[in-house]
Amino acid sequence: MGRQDKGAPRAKKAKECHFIEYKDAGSLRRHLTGAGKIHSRKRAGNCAKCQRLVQQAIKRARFMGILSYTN
Amino acid sequence: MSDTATETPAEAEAPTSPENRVLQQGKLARHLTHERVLPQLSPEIEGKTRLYELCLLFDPAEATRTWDALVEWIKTELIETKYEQHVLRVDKWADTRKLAYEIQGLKRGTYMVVWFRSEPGKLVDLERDLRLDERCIRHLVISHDFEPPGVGKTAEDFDQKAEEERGERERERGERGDRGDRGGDRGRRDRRF
Repeated sequence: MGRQDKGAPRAKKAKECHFIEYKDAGSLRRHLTGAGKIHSRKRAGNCAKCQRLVQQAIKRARFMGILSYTN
Repeated sequence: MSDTATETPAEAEAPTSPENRVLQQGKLARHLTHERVLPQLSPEIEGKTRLYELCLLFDPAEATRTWDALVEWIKTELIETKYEQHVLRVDKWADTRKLAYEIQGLKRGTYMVVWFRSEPGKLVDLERDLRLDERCIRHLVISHDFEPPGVGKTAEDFDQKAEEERGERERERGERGDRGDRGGDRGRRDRRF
């Protein structure tokens, strides 16, 4: 009840929303699709701040060859 | 940290360091409880410099042969002598790690992570030097407001952590078992994100 009718699911309350390590490929991979794209905010359930941090970290990891641009 | 023994460390480093100012701000102060590994410099230096992380990618063949020379080059020749800034820590983050994609024909790479404090203006020149040098294949400089957790961890530490987490998740899933046919109307199944 409630959520079903109200469109987008609410953003998850993050415990730690201050720093995301770009060298931590294992954790970042959870925010990627099978093709290596970044999950949308809705899909990942991130708050705006978290999503920015995740996005930044993934792009840094891609540049350094830790994550791939495409799969 | 303090020059005189009578001062307590908290008093000595609190006011001028930008890092401390960040750590004392409301929510952050409560959340960032990780251990700080990097050495602290005197308040005057910390007041006018920022904390940077420099990640470098090298050809593993070259790096294993001349690792000490490379460290010497980055640390002493460039940052400390040429630009007179302060290196806090140099780590070998990964030794011949498989790259996610080929870079300049290389399939594997060796990563070095350098933590240093520098005046912001000096970075442009440092980056130009790194770009021009042929030994360094890729570099990335990141400015940090505060010392993040995980300083000094290597790629293996991260991989191990990821492995453990995956194991945990799988165990959890196993315990809950098959959820079976939930039956009934499952709502808007065509919804896409």
